[in-house]
Amino acid sequence: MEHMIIETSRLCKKYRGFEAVSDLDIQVKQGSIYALIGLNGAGKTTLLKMLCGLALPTSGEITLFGENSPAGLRRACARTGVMVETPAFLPYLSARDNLEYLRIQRGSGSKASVAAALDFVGLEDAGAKHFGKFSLGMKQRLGLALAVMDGAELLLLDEPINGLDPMGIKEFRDIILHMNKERGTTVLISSHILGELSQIATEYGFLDHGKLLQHIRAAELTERCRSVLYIEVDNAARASALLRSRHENIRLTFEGNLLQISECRDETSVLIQELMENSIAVSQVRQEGIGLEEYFIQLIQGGATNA
Amino acid sequence: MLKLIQAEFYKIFRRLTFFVLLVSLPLLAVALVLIAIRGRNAGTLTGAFLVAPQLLSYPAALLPLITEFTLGEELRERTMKNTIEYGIGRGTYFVSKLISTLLLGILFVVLVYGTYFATAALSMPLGKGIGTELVHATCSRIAAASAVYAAASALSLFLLTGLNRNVSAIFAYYGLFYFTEPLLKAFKLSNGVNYLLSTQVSALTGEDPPQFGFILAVSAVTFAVFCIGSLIVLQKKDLA
Repeated sequence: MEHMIIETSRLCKKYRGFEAVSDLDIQVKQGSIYALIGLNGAGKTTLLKMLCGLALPTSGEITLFGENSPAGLRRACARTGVMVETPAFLPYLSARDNLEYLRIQRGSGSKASVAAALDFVGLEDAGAKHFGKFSLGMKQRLGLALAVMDGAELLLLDEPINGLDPMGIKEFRDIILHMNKERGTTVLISSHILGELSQIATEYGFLDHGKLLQHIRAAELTERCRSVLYIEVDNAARASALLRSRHENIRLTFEGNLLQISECRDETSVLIQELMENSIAVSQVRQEGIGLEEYFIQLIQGGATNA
Repeated sequence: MLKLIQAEFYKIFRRLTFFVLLVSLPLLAVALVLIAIRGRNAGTLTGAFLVAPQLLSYPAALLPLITEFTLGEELRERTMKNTIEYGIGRGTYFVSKLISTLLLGILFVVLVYGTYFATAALSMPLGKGIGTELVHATCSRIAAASAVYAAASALSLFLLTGLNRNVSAIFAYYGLFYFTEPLLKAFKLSNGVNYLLSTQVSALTGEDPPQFGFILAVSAVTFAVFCIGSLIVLQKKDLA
């Protein structure tokens, strides 16, 4: 049986009538790198903030490391490294003093753990520099240093590679993969840089308007992304309506005269035959693979269509 | 809790503004003594003790500076999240900030009055009437004023917690502390004036013997109300 590190049940967060997270059920299993994908305002940051206790759920339940009581969740948070939104530290303290301040507060590790964390994120030479003089990329690195300082078993990362240069992004990816592989750290990460996520994620959760549209394993996603069917017809609107009416699980969009079918349980030949039987001329049929970005866009558009 | 307070002082002892205050406030006390010596009515230690209660009104004005050191900057820089996301309870966090504020306040009171009386003792003649009774009366007033400052600290922390902007919280503090009395009088609610912190400070700086029991009771109730209020607000607050 898979051991779940994060479980939410009918989790909701409302802000003055606006539902940022709506009846959300997610499960993140131990040792996975779970990528949260969604448009701005989809509820990713709100979810992460609720998981680490920064925002209070309107309703629903959160279970971390099998604990769901308030005291239990606080204990679980101590096993969690968090980087939500832009890292915030005191501007007049150096990077080292900022981490030392938080280490004393948490009563964890030794001074060596601060040096090790700075070294781990490549800030060993900038330890004496005041946080107020840090670039955005350096701030992100320091945020990550804090997240990993206490040997976290779970990392909650919200847009962690914002502001990092290409070298920084690669280093960040290596750090996450190292922690996941060597230490067994579970990671829940959100990012808009989908290409980057696709290089590390083992599972994906697609969010839209606070709801989980789809949870899918990386292997399954790869399979789904492998082929998209393009059919050029003389009347795409009619063809689209016909196929939707006959295939409940079909996921399709169209542009001009081109139908784009990303998900369908039936054979291509069946679809073509149905179109031709209904006097829709088919001029071209081809199959192509898609990337994570395109899959996401199709999923969002499909979700909107279904709604 | 102790770790949080220890960390608080680790942070404060690395802040330049703290050291500026640490040096400038005792210097101000020395300056007051020197002014008294140079004045026409050359000062005596007795005079210094008699004047000391009149200085009790100033620390209340400096309190927002101290709460800015502890809670204010954490809210402004949004660093409070670093503590809460580690699983440290919001109540524990607030109480640690409150205790740190009170300890800082005590440090400043001891430092300023210590410097004031030490300078006066070293540089002024004794004068007439100095004795244990005068020293006791002055120290009692300072101790009672400390209770009022503790209540004012709770007020300041409550405003910082409740208002999203530190500047608004500071203005609100001065407004509540100094302008509630004329407002109550304007609305013919003069009975309420007796329960204001500013009234207690006035009683302690006045010439009449203050009612220590009443002052301590008002301070304790005010302290409790604003501490509970802060805890309630903080428990419900979503952190950015």
